[in-house]
Amino acid sequence: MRDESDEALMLRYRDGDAAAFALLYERHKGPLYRYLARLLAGQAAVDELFQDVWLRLVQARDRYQPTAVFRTYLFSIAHNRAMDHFRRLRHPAGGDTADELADDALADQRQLPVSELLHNQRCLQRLLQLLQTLPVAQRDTFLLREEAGLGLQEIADLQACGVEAVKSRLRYALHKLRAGLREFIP
Amino acid sequence: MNENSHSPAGDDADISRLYQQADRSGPPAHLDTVILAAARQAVAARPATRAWRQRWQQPLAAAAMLLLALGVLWQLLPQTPLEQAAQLAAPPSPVVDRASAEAEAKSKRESMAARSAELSLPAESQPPQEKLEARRARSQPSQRQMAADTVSAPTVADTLVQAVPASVVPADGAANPAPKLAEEAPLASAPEAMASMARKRSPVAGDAEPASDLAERALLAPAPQTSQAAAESALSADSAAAPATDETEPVPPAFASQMIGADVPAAAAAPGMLQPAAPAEALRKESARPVVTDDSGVQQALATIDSLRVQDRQGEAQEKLRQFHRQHADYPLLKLYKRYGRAWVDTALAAGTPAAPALTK
Repeated sequence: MRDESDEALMLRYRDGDAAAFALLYERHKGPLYRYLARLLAGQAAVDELFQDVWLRLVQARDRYQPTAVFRTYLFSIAHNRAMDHFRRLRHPAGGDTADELADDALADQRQLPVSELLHNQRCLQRLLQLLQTLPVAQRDTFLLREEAGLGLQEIADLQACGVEAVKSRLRYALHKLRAGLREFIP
Repeated sequence: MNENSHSPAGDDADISRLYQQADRSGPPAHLDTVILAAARQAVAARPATRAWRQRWQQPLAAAAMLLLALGVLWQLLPQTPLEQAAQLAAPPSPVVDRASAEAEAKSKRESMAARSAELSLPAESQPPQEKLEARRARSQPSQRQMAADTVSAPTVADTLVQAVPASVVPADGAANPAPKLAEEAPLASAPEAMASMARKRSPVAGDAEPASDLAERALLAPAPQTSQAAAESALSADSAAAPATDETEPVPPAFASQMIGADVPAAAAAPGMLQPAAPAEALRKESARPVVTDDSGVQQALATIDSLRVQDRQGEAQEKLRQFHRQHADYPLLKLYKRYGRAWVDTALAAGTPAAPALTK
């Protein structure tokens, strides 16, 4: 059963095999949790949404049809829940204003000392800090790319936008991260 | 370059690699416990019923479709010769049933006639034997009149209902049942009606049976010959043999004439007897019914025609019908129509006599 695909495991769980769900959970709990943890702010909110995403998956198992990759399905649930969370907080999910704010934050970070080691712990911490300064749309795009491993088209479908918009968001996100890590990455 | 795969060039790849080296921690253990327990509970709450349904849904649907297709195909396929032969060899049960039913009805009518013969009528209301025979001779109408009389039976009954004096109709509707409809009148009820009339000879409103009911029963009796026989039996009976008639009032002449189909003048009514509003002549005219010979010979002939028709010997069947029609000219055409269909009977009769269609029109 360990060699089975995510879709097959989900079908087995739909048919009543709880062990299949345990295996699915084991495969995807880390990426999903990190995606939410680095997209949202606050441990309580992350835990709540993480649990909510899996419970929604459990409740919707009867309607599951393997028409898409399971990982895309799972992260689409997480993305929608996160966007709902941002709407509740009235946090802008994207746009130029957020980008400008992020640019201002990056400008302050450029004064850090440069390190030549990629594996420097400080560099990683800096990266995560920079990630939190990105606009939500760019952060979401970057995390969907890095944690879920989704392609541009899948991200575009999930975010209900065009592929070019996804490319643009990703390009902006990388550019800002790069600019913030210029001290660490020559 | 593949649009779906964004390949970060240079430093972008470094950033991605750097991100992958960051903290890879997962959710806390208590979240794992909660989520896995909820998943197990959800599966345990709804056991395999859903799975069973989903597993068998498609095979069952396919089997149902197959059965439907086979059923439709079975209906569309032509009959095999064996089935056709079995259908032809099967006895015409409806004909047999009808013949036996008619024989039973006939025996019942005869028994009723015998019963009614035991009843006595007032001597004054008994017409002479010659008048009875004259009446019988007059009651041989043409085919057209016979059909018209049969069709317009409810109308005749209505006329008689109107002709009956209102004093005879009970004032209290609850004391007696409402007059029955013409369709509800029992078969061969003329002698029975006469017998019941003789039994209930009280002219007092409320005690007597509704006159309209009696008139309808008498008129709608399908076997006038039987009623005539009953009348003859009743007339030939010795009036002294029924002393009870002296104790009760005599039957109104209009009713008596209806019952026995004879000419009973209104003036012959006994004193104190109720006088009908309509003249006796009109009643006599309305009550003129065709005489139908309904004996075993008729049934046998009809059964023969039935069997010929079943054997698809239409020509012989039509010839038999023509013979039957010649021998029993007073047999109602409507009965033949009901039995064989109007088109077939008309065709058969038209083949024998060119004037037949004009008569049956």
